[in-house]
Amino acid sequence: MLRLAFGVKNIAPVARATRTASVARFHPVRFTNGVRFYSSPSSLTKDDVLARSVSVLNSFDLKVPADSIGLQTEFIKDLGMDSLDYNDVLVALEEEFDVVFEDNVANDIKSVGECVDYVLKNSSSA
Amino acid sequence: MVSKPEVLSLYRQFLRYSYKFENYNFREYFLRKARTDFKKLKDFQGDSAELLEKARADLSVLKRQSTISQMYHFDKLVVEKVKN
Repeated sequence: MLRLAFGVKNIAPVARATRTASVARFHPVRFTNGVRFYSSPSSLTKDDVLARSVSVLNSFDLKVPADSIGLQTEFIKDLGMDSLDYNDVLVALEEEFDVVFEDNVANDIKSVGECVDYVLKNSSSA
Repeated sequence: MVSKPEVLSLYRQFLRYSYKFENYNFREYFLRKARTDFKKLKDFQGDSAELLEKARADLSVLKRQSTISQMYHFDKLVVEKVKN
């Protein structure tokens, strides 16, 4: 045990010496103008967006079971919503994904898949 | 006559600004109010120009108040979902 401790001690100064040598060569970089580091870009996948959209839809009164909702599902035809209902869903999705559905886009959206595509194209964060 | 996209756009804005309220009671109240008010006018026939004007005025009040609401801290209520 004692020998082992000595052995470690003997190795240590060598390691320290190499480390100081490399530190001496290190020149810190100064950022003179503001630099902001961002985390990795959005890693939102289509499946994630669909799953979260379905859970948002689930918080509304739906006439169909949540697991039957897919990309092809249309708000008016398949979910029995009126125009006010599905615009309500759009704003709830805006809250969920931190995007804004532009007026010209929102008026043309008919299906869950179109929402998912729009979110993927426009969301800046996950 | 007010066009349908115009009304829906107004509806979305009402909901959007309602969601922005920090205070749970205000937020839920304005969401509920927007939903019921628009539902009530679903089969409205007649001159909608006056209604539209009133809605725009209300929207600007809502916009202002939701911004003010965000300037203050409100403790979360037990019924509120906490975002992770």
